[in-house]
Amino acid sequence: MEKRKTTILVVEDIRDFQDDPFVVETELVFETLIFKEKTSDAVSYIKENLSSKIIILLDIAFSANQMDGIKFLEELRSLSKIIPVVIWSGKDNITEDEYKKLINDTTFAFLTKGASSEEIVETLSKADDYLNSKVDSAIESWLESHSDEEKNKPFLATSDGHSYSMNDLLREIRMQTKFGQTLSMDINKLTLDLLFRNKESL
Amino acid sequence: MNDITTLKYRFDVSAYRLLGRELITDRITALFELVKNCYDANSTEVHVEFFNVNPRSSESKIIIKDNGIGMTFDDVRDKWMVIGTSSKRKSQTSPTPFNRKVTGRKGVGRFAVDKLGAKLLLKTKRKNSSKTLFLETDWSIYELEENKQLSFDFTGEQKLFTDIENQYWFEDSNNDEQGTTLTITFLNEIWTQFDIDRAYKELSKLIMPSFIQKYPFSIYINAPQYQTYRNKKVESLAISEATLKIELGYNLENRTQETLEIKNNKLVKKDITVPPCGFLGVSIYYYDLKAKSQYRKLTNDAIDGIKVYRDGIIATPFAEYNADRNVQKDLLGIDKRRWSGFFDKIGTRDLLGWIDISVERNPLIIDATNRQDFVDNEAWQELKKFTIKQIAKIEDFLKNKKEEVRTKTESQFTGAKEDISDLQKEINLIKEIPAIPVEIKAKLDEVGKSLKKTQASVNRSFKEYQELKEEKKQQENLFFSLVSLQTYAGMLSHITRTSLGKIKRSAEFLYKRFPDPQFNRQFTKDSKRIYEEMNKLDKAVDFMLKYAKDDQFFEDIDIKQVVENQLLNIYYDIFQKENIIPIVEVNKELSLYYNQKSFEDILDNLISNSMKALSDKSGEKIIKCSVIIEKDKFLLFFSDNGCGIPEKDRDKIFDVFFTTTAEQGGAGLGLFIVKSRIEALKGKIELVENELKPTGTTFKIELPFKK
Repeated sequence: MEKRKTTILVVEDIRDFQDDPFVVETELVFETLIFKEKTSDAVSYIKENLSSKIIILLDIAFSANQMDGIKFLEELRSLSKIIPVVIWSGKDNITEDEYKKLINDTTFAFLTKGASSEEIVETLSKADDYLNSKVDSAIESWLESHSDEEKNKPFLATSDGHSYSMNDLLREIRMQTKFGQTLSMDINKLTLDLLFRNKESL
Repeated sequence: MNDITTLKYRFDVSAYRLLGRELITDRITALFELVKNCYDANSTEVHVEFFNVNPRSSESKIIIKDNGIGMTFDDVRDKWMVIGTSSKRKSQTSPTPFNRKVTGRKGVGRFAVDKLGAKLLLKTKRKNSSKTLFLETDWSIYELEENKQLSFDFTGEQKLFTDIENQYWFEDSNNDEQGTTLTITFLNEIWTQFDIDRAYKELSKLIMPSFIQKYPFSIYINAPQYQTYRNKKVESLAISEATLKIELGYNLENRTQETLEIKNNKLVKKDITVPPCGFLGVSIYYYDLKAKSQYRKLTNDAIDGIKVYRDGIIATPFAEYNADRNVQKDLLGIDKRRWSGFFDKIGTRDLLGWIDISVERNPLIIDATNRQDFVDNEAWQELKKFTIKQIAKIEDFLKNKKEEVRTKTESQFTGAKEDISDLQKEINLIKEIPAIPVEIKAKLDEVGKSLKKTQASVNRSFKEYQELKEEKKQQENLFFSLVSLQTYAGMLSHITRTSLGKIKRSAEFLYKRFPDPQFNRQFTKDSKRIYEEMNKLDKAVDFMLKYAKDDQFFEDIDIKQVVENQLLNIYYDIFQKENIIPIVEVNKELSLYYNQKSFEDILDNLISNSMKALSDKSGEKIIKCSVIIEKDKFLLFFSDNGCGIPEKDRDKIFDVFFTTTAEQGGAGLGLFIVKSRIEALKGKIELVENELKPTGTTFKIELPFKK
């Protein structure tokens, strides 16, 4: 069976977990699983790999001198709003404020430290399916498949005179701005329209 | 056609008397009402002065001078000179921006003057008016009229109250001034110091206990004839009811700050160098139960903690006096230190006060952008610490006092018992005297019996007293245990969650994938992991169960086993997470006769403190525990290589309630518990030079032991 190409990025500071059975199970399904013990390293990795598909497995309770898991989420969301995050927490007392933040920053799912390997793999797979089905993701992937030079050239012009390069569009999509969302919705509509016109060949 | 003519009602002279004297019953009330008028006129300062009031003469004068908004000519004509005006009731608050709740009664001011003296010179001016208005009222004229009218052979025209003319005139003056001054002469009575004391007491009710409101109001009494009343500022009565009054100042020249200290069981002020937050003016008033109820009676208000004022205006939390109590947050963290139900602690319901800061002296204390707090920088932390330190000293002082009383009570009990016993001996001796008549002997027998009953009562009371003491001690112990338990429960929950998760996934892998040979290495790993995690859980449960056991149970403890279990098993996960390396060096043959839970508590608290000290450290973090035997002593050294304890805190760390880590949940109990427990064993604990360099902390614990 072909493994999934999306990278699983595990942000967890307890080294012990790198030996955890869930790693073996997950690596049977996903090609790449990377551990980052420090949130700062995780952020750097994401910055360098925005063009690849990533799912993040994040432990909320980091020790006091590191960027808190919540803060990490904030930083992440300033880079891309469409990377799915699965929270993996052993922390008992997540406060109401923290919950708000997690939900509002679009956490894909919650897992407790007591989860079985099966649950973990299942959740990560679901996140991957979600990622693959999102038009934003598809657009992002297509845009990213172009060279850097091409990406900087003006690509799209809107009726009110704005010009966007592919890089601009990538930003709009990742930050889920109004324009980015409109773009996705319009492409969806177009796709449906095309499909239904050619429904025999569907 | 008939001409329609009209008649008007008029007042005769005794009318004013009726009105005035019925409304104002005595001169203290009169004074009070006049000062209230000043308050209602938005004054910030009122000076009440008594000149030559004892004895009474033509030179006697009472002056009430305020800096309020003053009156225009129209005000005087249409309000001051009109009886029964409803001007006051048009609004319940004084003019903006003060918006004070009006305190004076409707229209009685001028009659209050009558109660004080016969002649009044009223001087008043509005700001931005170029002229001051003067009005002279001479009640003696009215009196003369009245007497005239009362005499038998009065034939003259009946002059009425409303006919009597009062002179007024204008004088040029400075545009910027404002206010009203009442100068009363031809006083009705003499004013002794006692009378002025009464006036002071009454006036202090006008001073708000919350001290500085947005627009302060101060009253000064000046009566040069009396020593105590040389421009004396009237203090709030509620504050004067406080059980303890602490006022700490600073000296800008010497750059010193006053702080509290306990010397010979008394609270004294000490000068220290200015703290990092800048100079602070600190006023703290403590109310015990009795004082609290007095306060409530006097002010209809409740005591609500310490506030911060910047340059005389209340700073955060920007809730004005009398605002919703629940909105007023405890920003200083006074109650945060408290674990509810803990004895000997005082909180925001026991304390009133203010921290006086200024932009100049404390530039680093900045309002947070949400305007509901202060920016959490070092300066603010230091201010909080300083305040908490003072409160801690007060608590210590109160505790010592309680202890004193207790010791006194105990000695009184013992004294009473001895007295009774002596008395019985005396009586028995007397009974043995052969010459004693029978009736006396009988009486003595009765007395003897009564004494026996009294003795039994005293013995019973003493026993009860001791039982209460014991009970309290047990409650304290229980409480101390609970405090450690809370920290521990958090840890335990973390351990079980993580342990259980690992065990679960290991077992899951085994049953799913076994016997697939490609995973053989993994199978070994997983089995081992299950075993290790189960062991950890086992010890953790053991640890928890100890709390259920009787606190006083002593047994032989294997020190090596207990220390290793704590540092290497129970705290394993947490140390991993915090990247702390534990080092244990314990000689094999070490046994201590003690209560295991208490010993574990000691370690718990030391570990907790070390972890806090290491939380901000970069690089290798170490916690080390070593134990050696030296002659007949058992020495335990507990070290970390964290930030260490600053010089200024070294002699305070064992004080109960002293904490520098309230934000991290520090209750200020840890080291106190440790010290108490150790001293209960006749041991001692001290801070020694840090073993681990360059920074760190090392505690040396000495315990005597019987081999």
